[in-house]
Amino acid sequence: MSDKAIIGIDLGTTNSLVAVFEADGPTLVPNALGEVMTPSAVGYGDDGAVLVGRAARDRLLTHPDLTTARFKRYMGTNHEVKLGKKSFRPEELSALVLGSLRADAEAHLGRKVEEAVISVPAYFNDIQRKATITAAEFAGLKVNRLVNEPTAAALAYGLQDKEAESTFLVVDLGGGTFDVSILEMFSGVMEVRASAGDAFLGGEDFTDTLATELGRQLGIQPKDVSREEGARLRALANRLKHQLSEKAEATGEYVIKGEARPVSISREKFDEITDELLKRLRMPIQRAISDASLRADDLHRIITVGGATRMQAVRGLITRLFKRFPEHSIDPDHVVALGAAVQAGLAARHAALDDVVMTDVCPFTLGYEVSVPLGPNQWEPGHFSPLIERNTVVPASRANEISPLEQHQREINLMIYQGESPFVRDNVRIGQLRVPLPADLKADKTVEVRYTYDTSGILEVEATPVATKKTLRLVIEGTPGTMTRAEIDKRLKELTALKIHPRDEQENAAIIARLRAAYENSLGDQRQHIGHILAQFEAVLHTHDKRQIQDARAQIEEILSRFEGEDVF
Amino acid sequence: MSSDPFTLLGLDRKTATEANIRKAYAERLKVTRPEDDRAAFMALREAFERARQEARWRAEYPADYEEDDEDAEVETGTEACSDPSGDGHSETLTEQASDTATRTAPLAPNAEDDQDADFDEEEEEYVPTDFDRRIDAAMQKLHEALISPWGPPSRADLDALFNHPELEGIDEYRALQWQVRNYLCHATGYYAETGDVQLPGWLTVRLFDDLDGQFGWVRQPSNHPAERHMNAWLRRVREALDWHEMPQEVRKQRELDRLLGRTPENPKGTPDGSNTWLYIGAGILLFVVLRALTGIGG
Repeated sequence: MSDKAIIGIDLGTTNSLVAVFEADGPTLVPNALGEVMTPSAVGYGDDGAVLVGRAARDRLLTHPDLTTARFKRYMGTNHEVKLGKKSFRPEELSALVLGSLRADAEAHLGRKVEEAVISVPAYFNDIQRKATITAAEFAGLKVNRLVNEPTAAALAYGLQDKEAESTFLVVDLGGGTFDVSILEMFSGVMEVRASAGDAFLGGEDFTDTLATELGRQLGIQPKDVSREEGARLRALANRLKHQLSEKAEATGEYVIKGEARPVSISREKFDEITDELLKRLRMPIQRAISDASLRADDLHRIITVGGATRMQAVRGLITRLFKRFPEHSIDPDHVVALGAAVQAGLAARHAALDDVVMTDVCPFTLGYEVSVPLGPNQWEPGHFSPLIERNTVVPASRANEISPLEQHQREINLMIYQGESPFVRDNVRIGQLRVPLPADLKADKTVEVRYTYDTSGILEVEATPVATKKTLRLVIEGTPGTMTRAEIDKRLKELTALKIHPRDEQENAAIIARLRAAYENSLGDQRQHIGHILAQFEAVLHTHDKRQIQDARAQIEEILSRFEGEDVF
Repeated sequence: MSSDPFTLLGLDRKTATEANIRKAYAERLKVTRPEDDRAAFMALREAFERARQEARWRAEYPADYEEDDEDAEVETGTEACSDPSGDGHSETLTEQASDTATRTAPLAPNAEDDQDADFDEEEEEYVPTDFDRRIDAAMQKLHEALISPWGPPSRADLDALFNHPELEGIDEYRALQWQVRNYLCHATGYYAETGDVQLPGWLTVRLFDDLDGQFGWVRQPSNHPAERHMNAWLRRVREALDWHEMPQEVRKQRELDRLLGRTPENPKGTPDGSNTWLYIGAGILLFVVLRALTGIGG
């Protein structure tokens, strides 16, 4: 076994996890609170230090101006979130989560960690993937490889029976993204045959829909409520959504203007309001199946991954589509992180994985813009010419020759696109390359364009004019959503200057945040009781007696779980 | 790179089956990992895909190979390196042909005559399964709803038709997707010789969008060439429908704008200044001259 530790990270929309590959397989690493799931939430604490994880998530309810979550959805865009006075890019917020996971792994392994395999939705585009790599760099981690989430899940499942010959479908509905992959396994080779998905569809959308419905029941509009009240309504919607996975009807209470108002939602009603979202789940499944030229019977296993696949409506849809029940023998919240750790084990050449190889595909078609002839001397720009077709096994390299429209042109502006539409306006622009041409009118003005796609799903573009043989490489500048080198360095400096909450104090911060949230959400005697506990705990904290603090935490933990078990959040 | 795929896999071209090829690939893959040696992996992968293609082809059409087995050593060698893209193409076409034969043949009321002619050989063996009957019944219902004198079906009508428990399975959905597209293509003149879009009276923008929303042709073209072609056709149909539903005056104005708009465009194309190249450059005017025959090193 090599000495360099590579960790596997599932950087999720709602929760993030870290796992390591050890002698007996992949193992999840607990955080400072002893939990394996760290909420992907970031915020400032009362003392001005940065809080990550559960404490930050609970403070979303009480300090919505200082806390944020679900920033994975903004990866690959310039959307900045303001916390207090400082604005954060999605890469920076993700970096804070990654840094916290890294610290957990270091505490677990007892040594420094500098390299990681990070999972991303298969349907993440080039810009989103690069943003993830930048986030890792901010957190001091070198990305060994980005692994697609459904592929990671399949790796975790495939390891259970390495020699099996089987075809499986992985349906991965996470907090914010949806992926479908079809994999084939033979003689230890894990091969992805097709991937499809929707980068903007996840469990959070179901929560939003339910929150809107609850608002309707209560007669409140999003614009009428404060951010704090809105956050509480959303948290309530989330809890009811979870309840509906077990029960046919979920009920709760929403405290507004000192009054507790009952709300309820039945499974039928929930299915009705989320019907449009369910329809969107269908198309990628259908496309993956048809790309792989398979029928329902050809699939040996159907695996569901991601917490949102716990919803009955989603399970019902899959059952109806394939006429059998999907399996989820590994916890759908854990499986991606476990798979990322398997990939980390593969990268570190772990002896236990000698006979396993995984190959993946690029889920998108990559190409460039061309003009097509309409008639003599009439050209129509805006057409998409594919170079690497979707579901090509990566790494892959493809080349093609292009010519300028006019012989006197001194430059070709190569616009690089990703997508399936024959028109570039419907595809994603991922960069451009200006290729200078020789001035000589008689010179050969053909340019060879080569796209190379690496195993992380990152594209490299080269253009070589035939006449000069001088190769140009793509420099993505000015593409919306990406940062320049100088920007990255500047932001990195700012990030290192941030004060991060010490790891051993996270438990206390989390308990206080939970108490505050419970206080906000209760009334009368209960509220007074919680207020009392909160004051007591703060008093205990001032003693700085570790033993006493620990006992108090255990007691409060018990009381809180009783409250939360009832109806108080 | 253009070396013989079977040699690279250490197999005998004449006897290798798909299972042998997979096994040989798996063995070599374990020492040629994609993350270690990119170029070697890509060569191995290409060899694997080409060998598998040929083995499948051979299994499907053994006669073709028996005839010219004597000169196969020489012939197929050159064939394989000069025309692998052609091979890939024919594979997808075969798949589609059989797809259409088993599932499409009995359907699409308007298309029946054509298809009978196209799939004569298969016709004799054809025994409709329960699956086919369900799809047939659904297509019949759709056909009746579409040509109903009471106007086109509403979204709710279509939902009731397609989301029927008997049709919800993924295979049924795929078959229906083919059928309905074929029906639409037929009705809009895809198979006609003129190549012009014809719009039947019952086809409205809303109806088209409802059907497209159900099956997603326009937004998500397939990676099978024939399907892609049909999806591109439907895109044209959608544009024609848009045009058709515009009020007469708007259409007239647009047409006028288009004609006028094109006149000042012409001088742009001719060199008229020192920064023409800049202008053209910024206008992204590229033209594919040569599609490399093989993806790599073509």
